[in-house]
Amino acid sequence: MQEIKSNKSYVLIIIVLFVVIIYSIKLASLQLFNNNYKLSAENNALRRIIEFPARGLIFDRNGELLVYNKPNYELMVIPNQIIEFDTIELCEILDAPIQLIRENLKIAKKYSLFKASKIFGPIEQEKYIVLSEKMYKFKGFFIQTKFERTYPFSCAPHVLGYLREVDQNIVDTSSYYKSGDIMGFEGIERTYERYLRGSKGVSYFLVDAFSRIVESYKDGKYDTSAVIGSDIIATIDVDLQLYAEKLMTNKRGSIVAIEPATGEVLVMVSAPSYDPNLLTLTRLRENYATLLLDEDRPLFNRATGSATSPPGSTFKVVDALIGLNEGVITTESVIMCNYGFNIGSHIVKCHHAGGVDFYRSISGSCNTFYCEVFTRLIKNKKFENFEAAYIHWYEQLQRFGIGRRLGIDLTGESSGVLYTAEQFNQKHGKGEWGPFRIISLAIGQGELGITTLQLANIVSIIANKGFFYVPHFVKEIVGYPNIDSFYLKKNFVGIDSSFFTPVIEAMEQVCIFGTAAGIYLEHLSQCGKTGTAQNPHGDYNSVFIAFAPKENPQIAIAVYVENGGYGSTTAAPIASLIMEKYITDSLSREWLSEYMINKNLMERGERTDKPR
Amino acid sequence: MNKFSKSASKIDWLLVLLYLLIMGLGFMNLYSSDFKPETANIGFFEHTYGKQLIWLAICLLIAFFIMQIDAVAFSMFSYILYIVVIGLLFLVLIIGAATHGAKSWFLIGSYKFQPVEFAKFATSLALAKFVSVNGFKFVFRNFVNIIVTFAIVFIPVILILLQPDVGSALVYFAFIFVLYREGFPGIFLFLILVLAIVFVSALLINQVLLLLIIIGLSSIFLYFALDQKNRIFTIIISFVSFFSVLYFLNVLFKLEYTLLKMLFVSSVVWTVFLFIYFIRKKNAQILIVTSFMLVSIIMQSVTDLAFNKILKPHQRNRIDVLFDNSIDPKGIGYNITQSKIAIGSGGFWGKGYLNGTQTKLNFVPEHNTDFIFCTIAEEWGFIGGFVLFLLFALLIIRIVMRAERQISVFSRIYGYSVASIFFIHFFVNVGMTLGLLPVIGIPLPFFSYGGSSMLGFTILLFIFIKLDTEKDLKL
Repeated sequence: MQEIKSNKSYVLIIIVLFVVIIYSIKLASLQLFNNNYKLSAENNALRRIIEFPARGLIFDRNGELLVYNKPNYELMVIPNQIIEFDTIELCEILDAPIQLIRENLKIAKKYSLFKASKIFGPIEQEKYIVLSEKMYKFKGFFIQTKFERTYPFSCAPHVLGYLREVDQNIVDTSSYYKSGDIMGFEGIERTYERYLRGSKGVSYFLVDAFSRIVESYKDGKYDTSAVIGSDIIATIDVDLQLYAEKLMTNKRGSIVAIEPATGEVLVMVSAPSYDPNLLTLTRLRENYATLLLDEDRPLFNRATGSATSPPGSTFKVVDALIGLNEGVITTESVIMCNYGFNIGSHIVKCHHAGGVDFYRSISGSCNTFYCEVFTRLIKNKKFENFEAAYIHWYEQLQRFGIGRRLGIDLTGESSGVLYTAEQFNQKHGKGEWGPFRIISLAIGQGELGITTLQLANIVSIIANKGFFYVPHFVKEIVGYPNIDSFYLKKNFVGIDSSFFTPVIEAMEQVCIFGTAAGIYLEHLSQCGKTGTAQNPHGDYNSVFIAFAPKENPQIAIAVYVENGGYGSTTAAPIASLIMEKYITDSLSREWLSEYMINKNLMERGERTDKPR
Repeated sequence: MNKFSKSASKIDWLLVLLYLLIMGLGFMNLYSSDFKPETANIGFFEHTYGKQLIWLAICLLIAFFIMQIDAVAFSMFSYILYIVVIGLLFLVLIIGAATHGAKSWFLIGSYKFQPVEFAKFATSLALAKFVSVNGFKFVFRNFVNIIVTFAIVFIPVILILLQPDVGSALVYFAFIFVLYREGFPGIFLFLILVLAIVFVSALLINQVLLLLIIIGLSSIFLYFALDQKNRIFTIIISFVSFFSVLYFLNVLFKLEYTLLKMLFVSSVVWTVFLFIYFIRKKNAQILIVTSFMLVSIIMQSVTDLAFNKILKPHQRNRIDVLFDNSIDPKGIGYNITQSKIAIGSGGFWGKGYLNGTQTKLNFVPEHNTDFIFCTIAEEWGFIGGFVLFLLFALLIIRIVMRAERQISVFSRIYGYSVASIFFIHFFVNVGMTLGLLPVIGIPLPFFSYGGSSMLGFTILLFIFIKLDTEKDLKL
């Protein structure tokens, strides 16, 4: 009996010790050998609250507000905090169908009982005022204010850009953006995103199990405050931009105007355009697809993106400059033009009889003259063969910013088209091509595409007599001493400045009695060059490049109007009007302005900018 | 020596010291668990810890009072106490206040009173009294006594289950240790343990695996229980043949039985066969083993069937929630996950006193009652948790050792009851918090917030301490 007694007493003791050992092992495994729980604990109790700073504003060069933030009200709900409320009253205030509110409430509950969900929005200002007075009746609801970009002038969408929620790709690759954040997607909004967005503020709070904030974590030791986005002063002149856009109504094409002395872009129009207010965050969803699928491609920036636009005769000024620089012609040169330039069995047609001198070659836009210049350049004895001569010519063009991206501060810039010697080798075979194969390059046709921006830059070079600043759209980032030094550097094109004077002289003649006769105004002293580019899709494309005034140029402009006819018909008057408005701030030719605005070219041809 | 110092010298001061230590730590911990700087300026006694301090004082008074009572009185009044408590348990079902769907409280003024906590020592006393008078010989002619003994334990269990308060009912498992000590055959203790294991495993392990384990273990038991020469043949070959016959039938007639189904059917046939085979041999042990085998095989399939097939998912969840007294804001498993996070975040040294975040910020539900261990583990780390284990182990073992030294059977049985009850509380509560046992609401003695519970445990322990001072008590 005694034996059994002691035996049995040990059973409970052994079980107790056994349990203590098992529990100690489990405790050790939870506390000593597993770090997951420590992390979970921090995530549990710490809540990051992110404060989004106001995005920087964008002003034009004269201080006009181009983009600002407008409050946008949304009704939010935290389902578990709802106390019985009058759904009908809420719906009446919001003027919303009751089913919608009920449905959204259901979705919100399903999403989370403790987290806020959007129930209705955007709410108009008047309804917001009424609602905020009655909010005490709706426990668990609150009004969230989100800011939305607003464009008071509804202009220059391609320059300004728009905002969008970041996509997964950006979230994955960036340490700054979290899902649901907003980011600039085009234009200045995109390029200067870093400055405009400011930086998010993060505050850490201890929260309890119901996500209620208990206190600031470690008295805010790790908190960072939000930094408001920097304002940006754009180079755009909004009055001029609006006028240019007006001139381009019912036309396809683009305009770029640059201040030659600084490279600042005064105007950039791509027509047909769209109202940037269509692509605000709340309206983006409904409008984006429509704009994207529009046959006229309003989202596409023709001024910087149209790679295939042939410059036509405007290119002759470049020919002239290179010709003079290379010494194949002088200002004294006279070339015989008998209604055309014969090369092999091919004739490049022209309209002059007899000798054409240097000035007349530009003012009268002589094809023969520049075919001859180009032929002399390619056949130049300085080079061992055509290819070497071509490469030299190619390099010269590159310095003019042709066939390469200039590096403007907008996305989607096209390099245009300029064949390398290698590309011609591939096309025609090595050694199989010479001046006659590529003669159309001389008159800005063929394998040559120059964007309107590049054209404007070329005029800028001429106005500056030999150098340019890379065109840019931002004059100042408020709070920063300078813009990118890349835009403050003079780029010389390698042509002696003395050669520019005769070219400028000739360009003035273009406007006085040449191909663009009739647009000349004494006080403007415009210098320009027309261009008429063949367009397989209808009427010729009308091209005009110009700067004014002749002395101390203030504006350099390139206008490209698809199906606009001759350069002098559409592009030249438009350029002239814009230049006059910019320089004199008035219009002496209201009738011309009205006429150009009302001119409708949309039916003259098909759209040329087919998606490539 | 005067009377007081004479009895004082007999008091097991180690037990009293352990009691005071555990109680003091319990209060400190509760204070930390509910202390928040921003509410500190509200009246001290408005807080749980303030109220607990009042209870602590009451407990010490009651303990002192118990020490003044003549030990014989506990034996004398044991049945009356038991009947009173049973009456209260009845009454609480009728006029009790409900929390979390269980009617377990009497609301007296602003104070809550939980009769369940007092049923434990009353039952222990009544059981000790009855068994010490009648003995507990597990033989047939003692049938009536056995029935009465079980009735004493099961009447409160049934009443508690009606509340329903599964956790408190579970505590009465403790009396199995007591009865075992007094002569209840060990095989039943073992049987209950194994059935519990089978039930829990059926929910956790792959069924085929579990069935194979049962068959394998049964075979080993049979092997040792038998003493005939060809026992291996009888055990293994019989099962293999049953299974192969079924397998061929399955293939032949394309019955498309699953492996589980075939295993199940063949093992049932197998056990029935063994049962009939050995009934002729009149080997009682084998009969017990085989019937137990049958029960566990059926149990494992039924458990699973009942849990997974008959019940729909939401009903299953409800059962889980029913077993769990706490609110469940983020779905099933929230409590236990949060509890583990709180414990795990403690590390080796803990976050320091009053520095716990998980428990304080209500991530752990019921953090000051059932999940109080989390606060200890979070703030005091592994060291704190381990010390707590040791303290409880020391308390329980000390009581068992003192109980063994009793000459009076009454005192011994009562002592055993006290030790077993503390053990079950410790085992279930900490096991649940560590995620080793299902979530069952049951307090950790002297740590969990609650006046009734603290008072109940104090009385439970001090009656034994008092009985212990009079070892030569003749009852």
